Amino acid sequence: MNKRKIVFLFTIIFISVVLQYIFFVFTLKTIDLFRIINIKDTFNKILLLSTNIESEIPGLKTDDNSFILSMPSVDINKAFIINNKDYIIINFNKLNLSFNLIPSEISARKNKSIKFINVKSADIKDCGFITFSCSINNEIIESIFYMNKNIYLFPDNFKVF
Amino acid sequence: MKKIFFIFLILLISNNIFVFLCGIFMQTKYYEHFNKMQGAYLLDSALVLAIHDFEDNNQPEINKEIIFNKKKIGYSINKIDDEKIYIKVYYKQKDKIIYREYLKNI
Repeated sequence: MNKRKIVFLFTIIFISVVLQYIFFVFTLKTIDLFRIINIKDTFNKILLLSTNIESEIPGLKTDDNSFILSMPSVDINKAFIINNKDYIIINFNKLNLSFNLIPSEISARKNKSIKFINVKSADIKDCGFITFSCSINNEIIESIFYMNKNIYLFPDNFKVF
Repeated sequence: MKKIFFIFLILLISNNIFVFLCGIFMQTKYYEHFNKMQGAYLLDSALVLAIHDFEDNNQPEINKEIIFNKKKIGYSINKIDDEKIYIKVYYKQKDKIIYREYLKNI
């Protein structure tokens, strides 16, 4: 191999490796972005199904790291049991963000939990509208949601819990 | 020396193919998210339009289809009793109809 060929090959390999490294970093960032969008989607779906924000439920009171929502219970046919509520406790603790469903005794919904790990920060506040912010590594998402308290979304349309 | 270089080249090529496939996967996932977001936005808009329509006209049954942001969206409202209405909002995506149903207190 002459010198020119070696330089040419080395350049090609160098460019290829650099491009792959850039792509790798980009992929990692995109994965974080998808994860964060997934968290926001889950919260949005839960919020759409919910009809109220609770400040406390028996045995638990909201604090800076937790948020409680309630939705009407459903029977086996997924019809609403209006006077009964299922609760969703959103809790952020030690890099874990969890959505826990606590159904009422007569609800057809089952006890379920959705957990997201390695979440850097999460904050939900009710100020008439609901502010939701969450970050994973350097990706941050901030959203504002409105809650329709008089509107019940049929649970058939969504599969969260 | 030549053999090692050849192996290195094969690794580089296979890595490039892997990166290419990853790119396609990411792009597909992005479109999925984009479609979901667009769908949610269309359905939320249809719900607001439906509620306003019911409040303005107060008819027991309303069915409407409109073009909103170049997409076909629609809603139907049925009055169940004096306290509740049933609202169905939808949009058409290719051959599929994506919908949400609501029960609203008047």
